[in-house]
Amino acid sequence: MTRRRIFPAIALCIVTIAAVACGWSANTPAAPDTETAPTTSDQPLSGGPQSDAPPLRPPGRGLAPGAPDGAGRISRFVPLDNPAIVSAEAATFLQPDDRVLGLTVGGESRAYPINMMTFHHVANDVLGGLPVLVTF
Amino acid sequence: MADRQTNSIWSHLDGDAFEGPLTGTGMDFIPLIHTTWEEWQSLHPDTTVLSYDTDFQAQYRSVTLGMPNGRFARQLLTVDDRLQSEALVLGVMVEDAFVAYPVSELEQTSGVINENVAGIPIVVFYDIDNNAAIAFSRVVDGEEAQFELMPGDSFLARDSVGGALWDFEGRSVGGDGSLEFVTSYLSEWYGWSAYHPATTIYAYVLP
Repeated sequence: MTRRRIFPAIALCIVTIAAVACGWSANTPAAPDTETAPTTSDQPLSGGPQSDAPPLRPPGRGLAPGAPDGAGRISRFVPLDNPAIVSAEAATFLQPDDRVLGLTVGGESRAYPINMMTFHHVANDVLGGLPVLVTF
Repeated sequence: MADRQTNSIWSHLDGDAFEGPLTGTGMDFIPLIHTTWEEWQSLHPDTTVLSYDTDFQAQYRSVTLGMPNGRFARQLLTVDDRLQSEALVLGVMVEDAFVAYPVSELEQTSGVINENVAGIPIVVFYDIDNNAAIAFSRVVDGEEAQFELMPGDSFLARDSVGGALWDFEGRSVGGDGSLEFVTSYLSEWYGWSAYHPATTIYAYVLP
């Protein structure tokens, strides 16, 4: 059935796949790993077409394209790192028939809009207390 | 993709490291529902969503899957022309077998397909209203079940073993049970076939 091979060193990494394959492998830029737990923010969202409700979690660092990793490789992709999240009610930027990747872990559900994932391709997130990797 | 800790290279489709210190390591798949925002909200009203408010918001584009564009296919070394490059398929992995279920074939079915892949009984759900597809094990309470689609607004399938109703996420309605997810995801054909050249292709046959 599903292959289960959890290597102890990466036992916390669980991958969720829903893919439109790009046909080449993307190297993500290296950076110090951060373990950011979801926190609420008092800062209002700035800019953009969405509502004024504050994000449930402030934006992560996000690395710019073209940033070299520790081995000097340049990535053309920008991974999402602990991305900002909002409640469903605040997601006024989504239309009902916009496509999303829906994930539920530990009783917690989150939608990853395809319109974002086609740009970032990789999201490093924490859901239901587990580190998860969402790729597209 | 690469991990920042060891710079090992991983397949973003199958979650296996094939270069670097972690070569041979695999990551666990967890079920992902690829559907419309409206459908996801109805399945999980308390869901959160990623915020569009990033530094790259201006570059987000509305994407239509399954439309010919040829851009990525040209960059592949080999092309499997059994299907059109951008044809949407549900790629299913069972043991060492790979099967592509083209959406164009799934559209002709009832929406629930009872299958045997590599000797493993699986069921494929296709929700035509949301263009969503997923696969699960057909084993319910230790027995091999046949599933059928129930009429109604939301996607529900009934099993032949206990008569329970199961939603698109494989959760039993009014119960605690869940169907075991079979690694499956929507993909355009060029990507699925490039990573799994030995894949077979499902064809709908009139009963």
